[in-house]
Amino acid sequence: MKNLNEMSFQSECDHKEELVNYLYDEATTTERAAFENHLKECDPCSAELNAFGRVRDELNTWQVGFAPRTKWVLPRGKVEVLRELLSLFPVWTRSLAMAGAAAAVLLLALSVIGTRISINHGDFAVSFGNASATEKSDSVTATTGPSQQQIESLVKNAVAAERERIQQDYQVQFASFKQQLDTEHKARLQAVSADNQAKLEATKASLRQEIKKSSLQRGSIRSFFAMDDDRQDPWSDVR
Amino acid sequence: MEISDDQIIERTLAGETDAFSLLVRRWERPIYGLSLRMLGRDEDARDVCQETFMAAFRNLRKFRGDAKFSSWLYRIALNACHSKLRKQNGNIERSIDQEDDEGRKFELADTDAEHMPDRMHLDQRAKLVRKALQALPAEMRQVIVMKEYEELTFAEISEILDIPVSTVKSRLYTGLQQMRARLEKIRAAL
Repeated sequence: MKNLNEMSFQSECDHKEELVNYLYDEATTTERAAFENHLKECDPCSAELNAFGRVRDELNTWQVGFAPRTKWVLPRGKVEVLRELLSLFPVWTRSLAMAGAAAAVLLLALSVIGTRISINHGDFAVSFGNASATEKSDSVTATTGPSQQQIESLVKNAVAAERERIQQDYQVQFASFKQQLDTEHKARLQAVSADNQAKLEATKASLRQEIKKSSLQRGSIRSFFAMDDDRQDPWSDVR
Repeated sequence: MEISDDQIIERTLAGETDAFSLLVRRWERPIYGLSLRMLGRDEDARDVCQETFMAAFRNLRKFRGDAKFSSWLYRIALNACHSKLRKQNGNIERSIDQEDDEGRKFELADTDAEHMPDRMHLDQRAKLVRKALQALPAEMRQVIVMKEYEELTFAEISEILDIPVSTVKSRLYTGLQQMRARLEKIRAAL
């Protein structure tokens, strides 16, 4: 059986390009007229044109009724996604996460440069580079660097230490704030007290002044009446 | 007046990234149509559609504007289609006898081959066309799809595929010949 991909209906004349231009209405007026004249004389081209017309009709039976909506979500960068994720957490959590990440990176860097960390009987030792064979045999730590468990443990410790440090910082800040508030409160109280004292003193002075004035008036009245008592009636002799 | 593709691109590049969705809405139908006719499966066409717009968005700065945006988009879509077709591993070159999914012949009440297309139900004719088209080599299929369904000019197809106009016409001619042969063979087999 002949392969369909190789199968073709060879036209006897070489007007393929003109035929295609004519079929899809991309021929100029002159080309169109010329090809129409050619069709009158060329049965193979005429037959091929009709056949291609039928193929086009068949092709047009397959129509796509609708196109589904493309799910379009703007692609975001990794940094943007990470930033948005971090913004969901409170500040102290972010600090903690950053500290943890920094510790992890540090540990990774240490493991890459061949640093070995060993903890024996409470002694903490750090060494860089390759260890000697003896050291290797004595050391509890694997020679190829810290194990996964050790790294996890160290990261855990680093995270705990960082948490502790942040809590201490908060406590110190809180104490300082409290002290500042107390000082301000005391100063304000003293100022109010001094103000009140001054007002009191002024009132007292004013009262004293009033009393003094009143005493003076009373003295004058008294002396006036005393003088009346002593005075004799100037008309008594006349009577 | 409708905002042009170039203006939308300018706005997108200026930071108004939401503007790109206007391009998606404008071109999703042609891109889906092209992909569906190239690949033959709705699911694959949707994937290609999605990939095309994602790739266009990511590479928008590389779009120089010396060609039409639609040409650039069609090119991306066709590359995605070819990539999918390569993964399908030669399923395109099936023979007509293998083309029916269920492996059955079309059964029709009237088997008069000469008048068959007129009497055949439109859906069945469309199905035959789809199968015949899928069996064409991709380079011919894409030219037929762009010319017949997307109604692009020979010059536009030439620009999209980066081939001479004469090659576009030659592929179209050969593609139509093969379609004719396949359709006639199907009719004969009925």
